[in-house]
Amino acid sequence: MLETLNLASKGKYVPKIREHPGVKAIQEALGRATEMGRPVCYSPGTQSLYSTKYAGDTAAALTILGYTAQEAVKTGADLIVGISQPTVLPVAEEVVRQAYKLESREDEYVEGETVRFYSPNQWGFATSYVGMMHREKAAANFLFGGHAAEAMVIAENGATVGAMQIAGSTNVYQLPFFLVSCEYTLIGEDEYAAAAYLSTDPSQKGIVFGQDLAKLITIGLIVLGSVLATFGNSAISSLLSM
Amino acid sequence: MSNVSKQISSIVLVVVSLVILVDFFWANPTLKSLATDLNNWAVVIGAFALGLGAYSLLTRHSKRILQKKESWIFSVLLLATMFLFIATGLITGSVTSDEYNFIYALMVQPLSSALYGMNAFFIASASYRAFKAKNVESGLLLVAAIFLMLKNAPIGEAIHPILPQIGSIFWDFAGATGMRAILIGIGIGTLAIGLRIIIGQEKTPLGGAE
Repeated sequence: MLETLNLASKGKYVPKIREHPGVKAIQEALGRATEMGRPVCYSPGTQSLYSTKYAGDTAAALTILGYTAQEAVKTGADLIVGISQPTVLPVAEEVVRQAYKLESREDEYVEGETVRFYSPNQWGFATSYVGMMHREKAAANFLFGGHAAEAMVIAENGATVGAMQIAGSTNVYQLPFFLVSCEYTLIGEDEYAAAAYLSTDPSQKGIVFGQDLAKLITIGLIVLGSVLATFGNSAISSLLSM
Repeated sequence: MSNVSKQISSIVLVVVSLVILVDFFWANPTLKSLATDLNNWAVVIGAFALGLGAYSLLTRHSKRILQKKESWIFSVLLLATMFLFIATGLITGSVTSDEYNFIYALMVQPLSSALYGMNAFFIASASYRAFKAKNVESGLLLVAAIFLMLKNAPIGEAIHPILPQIGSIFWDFAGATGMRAILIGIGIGTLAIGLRIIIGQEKTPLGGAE
C-alpha cells in the first residue's frame, strides 16, 4: 500500500478508479433538489472521530461531505448537515465552510443552520434528523459514516418524504436496511474508496490500488490455505494466527 | 484554519497515531503510560466538545424562540429539558444519583425503547418495497427472503421439514460467505484509511485541508 501510494504521489502510476454509481448519483440527487427547490440532508453518522471501530467511516463521511457541500453550492441546492457527535461538529463546520469558501459563496453559509448539532444520543439524533427531513421536505438524503439501529428509522422516513437516498456503511448489520431503503448504497469499503475517488490528491487513488492488491493477496492466501488444510497442512492458518 | 495551524495539527495527528499504534505492538511501560495519557486527553477533549454542542443547541434554539419561528414551542421544550438535566446533575452532584436516574428512566429510556420498537414496522414497509420482483436480482432476493422467513418462523417446519433446511443453506453458505467477503474488504479498507491518516494523507479530520 505504501509503495503504490508512493508511486501515485510521484505521478509514476496514478490508477484510474472506476466510478461508483452511488457517487455519480450524488450529482443527480443535488440536481433534483435544485429543480424541486427543496434541501438536501446529510448525516456523517452517529460515531465520533475517535471511535475505535468507526473513526475511518466518520473520516470518509466527512471527505464525501466536503465534495457534496461544494457540489451543492455549485448547483444552488440548500444543504443541511445533521450532527450527532460533538467532536464531529467543529470538523464538519470547517469542512462545509471551506467548501462554500472555495466557491466564493461564504455568505450563503449560515452558522448554526447549515450544520446543525442534534444529539449524541442515538435516538435523540434519529428523531431530530427525521423531524428535520419532514419539516424541510428533503429532496435528497445522504447517509454516510457509522450508523447503528437508527439507520432503518432515518432511511425509511427519508423514503416516506420522497427523498432520493444514497447511503454508505461498513456496519454489516445495517447494510441490509440501507440496501432496501435507499436508491444507492456504498457497501463496506466502497465508502472509503469513494472518499479517495472524490479526493483531488493522486496518492489517495494510489492507496486504493494498494488496497485492491492486498485483497488479491488475501484471496490467494484463503485459496492456498483451504487447499493445504484439505490435505492436512495447517501452515497458512498457523502463520496467520501468530 | 491557517496553514501553520494545519501543519501543527498534522504533526500532532501523525505523532499521536504512531504512539498509539506502536504501543499496541510493543509492550513498553513508558510508551504505555504515554498512550494511556493520550487516550485520557481524548476523553477530556470529547467532554469539552460536548459543551460546544450544548452551546450550539442553545444559540440556535434561543434564536428560534426569540424570532418565534415555526414550531418554536418545541425549542422551548428542548431547552427546558436540557436545563432540567443539567440542574439535576449539578444539584445532586452526580449523574448516577437517584433523582437523575429517575428522570432518565421516565423520559429517555421509554422514548428510546419506543423508537427501537418502531424498527419492526419500518422493516415491514421496507421489505414490502424491496421484495417486489421487478427484475432478476429482486426476484432472487424475494426467493431467498421467503426461504429465510420459513426457516425462522415455526410455520416453515409445519409445512414441510425441508423448507427450514433450504433456508439454512441460504443463510450458512450464501449469507455467511458474502458477509465474510465484505468484512475482509472492510478490514483492508480500514487499514488503508488508518495508514492514510497516520502518514498525514487524509486531511479531513483536520477540517478538509485539501
